[in-house]
Amino acid sequence: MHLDLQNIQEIDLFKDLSPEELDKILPIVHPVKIIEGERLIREGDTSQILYVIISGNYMIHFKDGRAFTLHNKGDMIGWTTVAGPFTYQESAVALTGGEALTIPIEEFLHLMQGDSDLGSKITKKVTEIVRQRIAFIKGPIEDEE
Amino acid sequence: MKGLEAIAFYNGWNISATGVCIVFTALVSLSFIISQLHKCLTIWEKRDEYIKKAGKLFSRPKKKVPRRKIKVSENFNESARQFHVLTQSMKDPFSLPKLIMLAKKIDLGRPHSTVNALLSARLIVPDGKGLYYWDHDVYTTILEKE
Repeated sequence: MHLDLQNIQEIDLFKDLSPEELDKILPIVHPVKIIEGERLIREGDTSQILYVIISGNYMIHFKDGRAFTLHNKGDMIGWTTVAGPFTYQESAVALTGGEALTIPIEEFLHLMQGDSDLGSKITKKVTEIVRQRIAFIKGPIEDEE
Repeated sequence: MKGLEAIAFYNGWNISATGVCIVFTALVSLSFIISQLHKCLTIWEKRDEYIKKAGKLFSRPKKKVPRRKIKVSENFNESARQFHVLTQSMKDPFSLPKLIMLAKKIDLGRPHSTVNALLSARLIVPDGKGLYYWDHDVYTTILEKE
């Protein structure tokens, strides 16, 4: 997949960024192909990569058996990479083949620390996502068996 | 002027010939109609059949609409049946990753994409709390369509 400013700006996470800020982001964003059944992240592992979905269907799941699925372009997997704590709070597996953008945490945080404006815009977007997902992370459910 | 002379003078022969021709033509036509009447009655009796045939002649040929290909495994209904049996062995609502794990254990083909297809078909429905349940109504409808 070819990445340019226009198609990266279509992604919700980067929507509010200026062209100059997108220019800074572009070199650290890498498109990857994902195959059906591929495990992207594992709960408890140190978070190293943030995934932004371009296409495909994914399942986010937790140790207690709860899960939800992601199907839309721009959905994020491994958001704790940005918001901390810096271990994955969820596992993710691809239900079908697809494409995603990978952003390495180290370079991403370095970029955000070097540009406070960019950092605050990204953090704001991530906070929105955290708010949507927090219900799945808080509290255990009743035992199934 | 009397008799045949008078008839000839006033075009009597011509008028008579014309009259005879008209009468004979009418009688021939009438006999022809009566001879073909049985055919008309047959057409009347089979009118529905003929209307359909006529309709086909004048209607535009229908374009064949290609069926939308759904990205599911070849035998979706069979997969649905297998997963239905699996979900019945689990407590309702069930865990989606656990369902995939069970499907893997018993070697069901492509469990991830099948689960995705079942979610798309709304056979598996989220309960809003991270667990899922099997929609029996949708399942019955799909089986009935088979």
